Amino acid sequence: MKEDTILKVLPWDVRSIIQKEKLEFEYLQEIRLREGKPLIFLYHDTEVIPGAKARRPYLVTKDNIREMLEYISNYSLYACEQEMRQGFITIEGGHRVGLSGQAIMENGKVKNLKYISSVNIRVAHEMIGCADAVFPYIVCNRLLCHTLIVSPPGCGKTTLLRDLIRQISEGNSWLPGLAVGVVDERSEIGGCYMGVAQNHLGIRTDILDGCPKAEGMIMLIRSMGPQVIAVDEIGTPEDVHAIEYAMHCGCKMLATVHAESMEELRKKPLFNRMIGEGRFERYILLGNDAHVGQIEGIFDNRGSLLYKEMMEMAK
Amino acid sequence: MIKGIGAVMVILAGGGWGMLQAAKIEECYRQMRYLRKLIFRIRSEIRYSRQVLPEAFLHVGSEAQEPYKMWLLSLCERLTKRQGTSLAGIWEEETRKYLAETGIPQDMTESLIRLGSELGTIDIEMQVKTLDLYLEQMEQKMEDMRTEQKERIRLYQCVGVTGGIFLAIILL
Repeated sequence: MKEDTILKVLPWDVRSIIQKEKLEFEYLQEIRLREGKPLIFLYHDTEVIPGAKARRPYLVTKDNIREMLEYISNYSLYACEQEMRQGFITIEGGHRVGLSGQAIMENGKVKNLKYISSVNIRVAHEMIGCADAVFPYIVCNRLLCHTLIVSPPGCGKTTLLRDLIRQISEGNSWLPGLAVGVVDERSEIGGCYMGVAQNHLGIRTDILDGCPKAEGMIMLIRSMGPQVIAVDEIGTPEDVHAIEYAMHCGCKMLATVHAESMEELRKKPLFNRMIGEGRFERYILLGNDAHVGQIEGIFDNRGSLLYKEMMEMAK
Repeated sequence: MIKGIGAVMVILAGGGWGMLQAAKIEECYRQMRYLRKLIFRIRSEIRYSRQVLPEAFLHVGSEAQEPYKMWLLSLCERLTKRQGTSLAGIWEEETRKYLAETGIPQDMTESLIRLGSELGTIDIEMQVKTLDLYLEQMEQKMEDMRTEQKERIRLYQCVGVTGGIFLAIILL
C-alpha cells in the first residue's frame, strides 16, 4: 500500500529506477528530485544516489518535474492552491511533498508557486505502538492530561501524535476509549484520501480534513462533541485562542509544536504565556540523537522532569 | 412508363440527398450544443466543488450520452493509471479517438484539443477563465452556424430537388 502510494506519484522513469533498487519502503524516508541534479533518496538514514557507483547518476529533467506535479496534484494544480501556498502538498497515504520554485506574490503574501524546480517526498511512517512509553506519564487517575508534543522537524512528532490518537480512541490499559476529534489541516495525521483516513486513527475518531486548525476545533466542538481534540503544528494566535476555548469546553487537548527545546519554546511569546498559565499539563520533548522519535523528556506543567529515555537504552 | 418511374426516382433521390445534407447541418449544431453543455458542467465541477480533473470527468461522463460518455470515462481511466503520458497528450488522443465522428466542425475539434494543454493550471481563476474562453468561442461558432443554418438547409434542399429534376431531364 505504502509502496503504491509513493510509486504512483513518481515520474515514469524515476519509478523504474526506484523499483530496480528493490527497497523496503518501511525504511525509505525521503526522495528528492531537483531539476538538472541527480536523483537522491534517503534510506535507512543514509543518502543514496542511484547510479552513482557506476558514475552515471540519473539526472532529473524538467519533464520529470512536470510529470510529477501532474501526478501529485491529480492533474489539477488549481485544486492544491491553498496547500501550494504553504510550500507542500499532502498526498494519499499522508506523505508530504515539498515544493520549491519561484513564489508568486500578492499583497505582500505568497499566493502560489511557479517554475517549480525541486520536489521532495517525505514518506509518512505509521508506527503502531510508538506511544506506549508515554501513556504512564500523560494519564492521571485514568484521565488524559492536556499534552503538547515539542519537537524539531523530522523527529517524529506527527507519528507519535497519530499513535496517541489511535490508542486513546481505541482505549488501552491506561484509558477507556474516548471520542477524539482530529483537525488535520494538511492531511498528515490521517493521510485522508477523499475524506477517508488512510492511517489507523481508531474507532472513535472523527477527522476534519483540510480545515484550518482554529476554525476546525470550534466546528468539531459544536458538531461532534469530542472528549479529546488533536491538532498538529500549532503556531498562530488563532490556534492558541481556539485551544484555550476547547480546554474551557471540557475537551482534552493533544497538540504538537516545532521547537528544539523547552527553552526555545519559552522564547516564543505565545507559548511562553501558555506555559506560564499552565495550560498544558504535560510536555513531551522529542529528539533524534539516538533515533528518530527519541523521548528527550516528559515534563509536567511546573517544568519537572517526569521521564527521560536513556541514551544507552535507546542505542 | 418505366422512363417516368425512373425520372421520379431520380428526382426523389436528389431531394433525399438534399434532406440528408440538411439533417447533417442540424446534427452538427445539436452536437455542438451538447458539447458546450458538458464543458460547462466540467467548469462548474472545477469552479464550485474544486474537483480534480479525473473526478470531474467521471462525474460528468457517467451521466453523458455516447460517445461523450466513453470520451470522458476513458480520460478519467487513463489519468488515474498515470502511465507517463501528459494530460495534454492523453486529452488529444482520446478526443481524436472518440469525437472525430461526431460531426463537430474541424476547427472546433482542434480548438478543443488545444484546450487540453491549458487544463490543470496552478490558479483556479485562470482555469475557469480558460474554460470560459473556450465556451465563448463555441458560442460564437454556434451563433454563426445559427445564422447560416436556415439558408444552407434551404439551399441543400433546393439543390437536391433541382439537381434531381435536371438529371432526370438529361436522362430522358
